[in-house]
Amino acid sequence: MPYWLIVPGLAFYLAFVIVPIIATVRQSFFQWDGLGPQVGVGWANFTSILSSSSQTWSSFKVSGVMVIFTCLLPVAGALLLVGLVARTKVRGLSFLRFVYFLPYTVALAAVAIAWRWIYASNGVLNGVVGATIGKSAEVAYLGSFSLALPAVGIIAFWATFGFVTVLLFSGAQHIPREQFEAARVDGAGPIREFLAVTVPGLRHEIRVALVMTFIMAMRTFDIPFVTTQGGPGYTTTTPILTMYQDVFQNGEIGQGAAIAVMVSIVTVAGVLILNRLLRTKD
Amino acid sequence: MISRREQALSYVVLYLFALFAIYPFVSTVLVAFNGPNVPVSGLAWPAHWTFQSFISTWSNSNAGIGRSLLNSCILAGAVVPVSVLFSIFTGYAFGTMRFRGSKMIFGLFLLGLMFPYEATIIPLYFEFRKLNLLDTYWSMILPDIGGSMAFGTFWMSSFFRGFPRELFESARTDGANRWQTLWRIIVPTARSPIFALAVILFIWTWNNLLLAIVMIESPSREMAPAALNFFVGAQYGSNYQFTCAAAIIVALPVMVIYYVLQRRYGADVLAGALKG
Repeated sequence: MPYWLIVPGLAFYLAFVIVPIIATVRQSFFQWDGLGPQVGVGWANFTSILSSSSQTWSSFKVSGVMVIFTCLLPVAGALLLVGLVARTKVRGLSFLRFVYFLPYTVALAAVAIAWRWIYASNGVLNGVVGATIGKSAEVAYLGSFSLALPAVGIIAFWATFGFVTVLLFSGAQHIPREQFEAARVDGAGPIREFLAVTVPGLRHEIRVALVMTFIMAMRTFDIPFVTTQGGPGYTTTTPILTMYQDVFQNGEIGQGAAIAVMVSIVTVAGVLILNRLLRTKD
Repeated sequence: MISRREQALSYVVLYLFALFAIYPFVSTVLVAFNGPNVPVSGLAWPAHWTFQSFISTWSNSNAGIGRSLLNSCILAGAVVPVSVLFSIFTGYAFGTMRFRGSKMIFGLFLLGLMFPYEATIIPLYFEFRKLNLLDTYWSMILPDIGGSMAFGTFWMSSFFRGFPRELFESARTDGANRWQTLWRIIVPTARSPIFALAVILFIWTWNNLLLAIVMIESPSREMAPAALNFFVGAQYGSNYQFTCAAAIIVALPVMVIYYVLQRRYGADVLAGALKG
């Protein structure tokens, strides 16, 4: 009986996930324009994307920035909020949770549209800047070589921090109250209490949040695709966006596959490292 | 114990973050309630509140936003029930039974939680092209079900694993076989995690942009997030109220479903489900 139960799910999983992954790896060793014959080129696709002058290499640097904005900063912000909540009795917590989680439910394409207006040259941010500092301080944020990447990063932060916060809130409810009381009896201040009780009590949730948001960061595609198309220049082009352009616009299928393989390797390696560093016994 | 001042500070910080989370929704709504061809700038507070931009957006036949909502409903209507059913099966098997190869096969499913699904899209595209399935609902339904299985299996099995043993045993003494136990005892008790899984898979299926722009070409089969792309390309600059109205129309169904879920089970059901 167990075999009959797993057959349908496993069949779909093998056919539409595992086999395509293997096919992607194979494809990464061939040069192909999508129409003509495929030519085996060994490691050439990898050496070309990994050469330091290549645009793919710079897209991995963009990924590094996205890891900061999608993964590290949201977890840090959520820890700050959970530190406030764990100590005190906060009223209206269920309302806050609802609001915090809302961004996660919305399609990133719609999120990107909302933020394009905030960043637009006649949009919200410039409206505020123009009224307070002066017209001359207004900037086209998404068109600026230095500001576009942090601007896109803030969108990614907005899209994940609330969901991380809700995750940590639900973990904090399971920390035994006595631990906080014991810490206070020992004369611990808010910061000591946070470091000695809250953070250790949330180890498991912190690890899960870091792993999930790290994977999201490596997969970043929708937000730059809808806001900047990867520009100006290549300043906001992520690896998956490069893969999309290589395969579906430039007919460089082998090279796109090599990028997909590289993203997968970095993602899996990052997840394994995070799990190892923050191992919890359960 | 905790000073009033500290308490007040906590509230200020918590509600500032809430404001940050909600503001982009507010500003999008404000822009969209400006009429068409009205110059909009800054905070975009409408001088005259009107639904006209929503109506023009909805009836723009080139964008086909209504059609795209229907397409996304068809997609989710096919993907979510099938994925949930298959996940109940695999979760039941891995969570409550021991059989040869179970550890290894389960490990294979876990691997899928780590891989970026984008790594599958290149061969899927060219396989579907060969099979003449590009630009059909199948080219989205099949990969979406496959891609749901890793998480669905993991989520259902971790729930079934924590299931009280006595329930199985009492079912067995009543003479129920495993199949009957599943439907009579386990599924009714597991209603809330099953519902949460359905909502998560709905959100993922509905919001998936990359698969939609790669697989679908005909406007008549366009999915909702891809239809948004039309407004981003065509209208940006002059009439951003159409773009914002379109974003609201596409986001609203998911937000309503999320609202219903959290009314019933609280917001952390989803977070708990995503915990891994």
